[in-house]
Amino acid sequence: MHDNGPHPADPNEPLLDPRTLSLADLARAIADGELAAEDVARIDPSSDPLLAARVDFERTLRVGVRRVMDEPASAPEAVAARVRGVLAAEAREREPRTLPLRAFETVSSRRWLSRWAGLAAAAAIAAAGVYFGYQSVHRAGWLGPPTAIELASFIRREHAECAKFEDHFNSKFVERRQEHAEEAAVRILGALPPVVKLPVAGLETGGYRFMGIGPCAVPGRGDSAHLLFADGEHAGARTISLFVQVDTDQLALQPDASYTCPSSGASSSSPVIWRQGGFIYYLFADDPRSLRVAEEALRTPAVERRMG
Amino acid sequence: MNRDEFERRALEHLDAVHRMAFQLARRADRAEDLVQETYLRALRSADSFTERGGGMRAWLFTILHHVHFSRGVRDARAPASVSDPAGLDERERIPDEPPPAWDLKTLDWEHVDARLKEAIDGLPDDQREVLLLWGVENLKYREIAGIVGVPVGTVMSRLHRARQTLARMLEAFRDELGL
Repeated sequence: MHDNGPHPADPNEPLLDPRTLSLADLARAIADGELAAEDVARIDPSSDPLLAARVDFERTLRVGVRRVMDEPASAPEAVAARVRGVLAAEAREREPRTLPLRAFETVSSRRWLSRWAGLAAAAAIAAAGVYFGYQSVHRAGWLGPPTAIELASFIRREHAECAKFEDHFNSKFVERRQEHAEEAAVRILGALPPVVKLPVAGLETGGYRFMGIGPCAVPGRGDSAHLLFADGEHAGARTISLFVQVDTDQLALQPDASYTCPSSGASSSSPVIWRQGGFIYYLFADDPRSLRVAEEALRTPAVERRMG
Repeated sequence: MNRDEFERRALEHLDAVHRMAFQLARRADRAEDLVQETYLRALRSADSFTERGGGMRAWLFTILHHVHFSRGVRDARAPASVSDPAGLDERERIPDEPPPAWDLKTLDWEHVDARLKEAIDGLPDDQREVLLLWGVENLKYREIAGIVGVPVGTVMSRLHRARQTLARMLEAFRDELGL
């Protein structure tokens, strides 16, 4: 047995206590989503312009760090082959055995998530990451509002990771009870977005169920939440993501229009983006049918435009 | 969980492990060695894996961290630079300097990306690792603390210092441009 140090901490441990933080740590903790939503609401950073500016500075800096250091997007095939070879050789030297399953916190009904999305999805995301990374680096600077390409890349990646990886799903979606979804949205966003009331009934008609809601970090200003829906609990189930972000007027979107983002050759799906009632919505699904169902359920604006 | 299932789940995170290894080692060949060693140790230590904490990805990052920094100690050609060699809680020793409040979005230049990357590459290894786990891998303070094996306060301190360094660089760049 190797000593690999302490195991990662339990994500269900309490968040930071703002009363114990300095002003510096407080601004950064707010920007990083390290405080409970109730504490952020009580502090209300928007009521203090200086604190709000500091929080915004930190959020923008984080987006910049990710933008310049998020490479390489995927491991070269030679590395994957080398690792598989080493693991196979190791396996041959050892007796077959069954690994014990300890403190497995996963929700059994979500098991399909880890099986969902195969190599095709991974390859598409990786290729899209390379494409979007190249595009974003070659745009004029990173410090303005997020570009359409950055937003599309983020939305696709978050959707794929949350649908594909069970641990991502488990750590992100803090509320999985449909009856508490609205309450969770208020905690995360500070108010209830009108559209959040709509998808459950509308999507159920289309065969999709609510899977969970959790805080997210959509690029740009404004807190954000991620809601996930699926049409089953089996391998290959179709999924829909709805991201909701507090509208800070950073995107030049007409309120009566739905916007799509540029797509790459690797992925034909584009997030659908629109603003309404103080929030920006980002809707995404891998397959056209799911996207159509979701657009109808959420009553997205009929006028379609393209983000630059 | 049988071996096939374990390997399948571990390999799902190969891109993230390779990305982090590349950023830590800063060389493709060393990154490949790190990735191989990480997966080999993961397989041999599979009995200790639990879903607690950040799950498989964080667990692999924990192993990667230990492999990388143990190599840094062994390899005199590439010693790891650290900002807290004594292992002290840096929160006790750094000034309580709030983040800048000027609007980063006033910067809109073509070369900021290169300058920022250069500044990140110039950070001490321990600050740089924490910054990457936070900024690129989107991990929480407590998850990073578990991976690196330090208190949450130390993670905050390292992030604090790293972000201060980057903020100062950006401010200097703004001054250069006369904004």
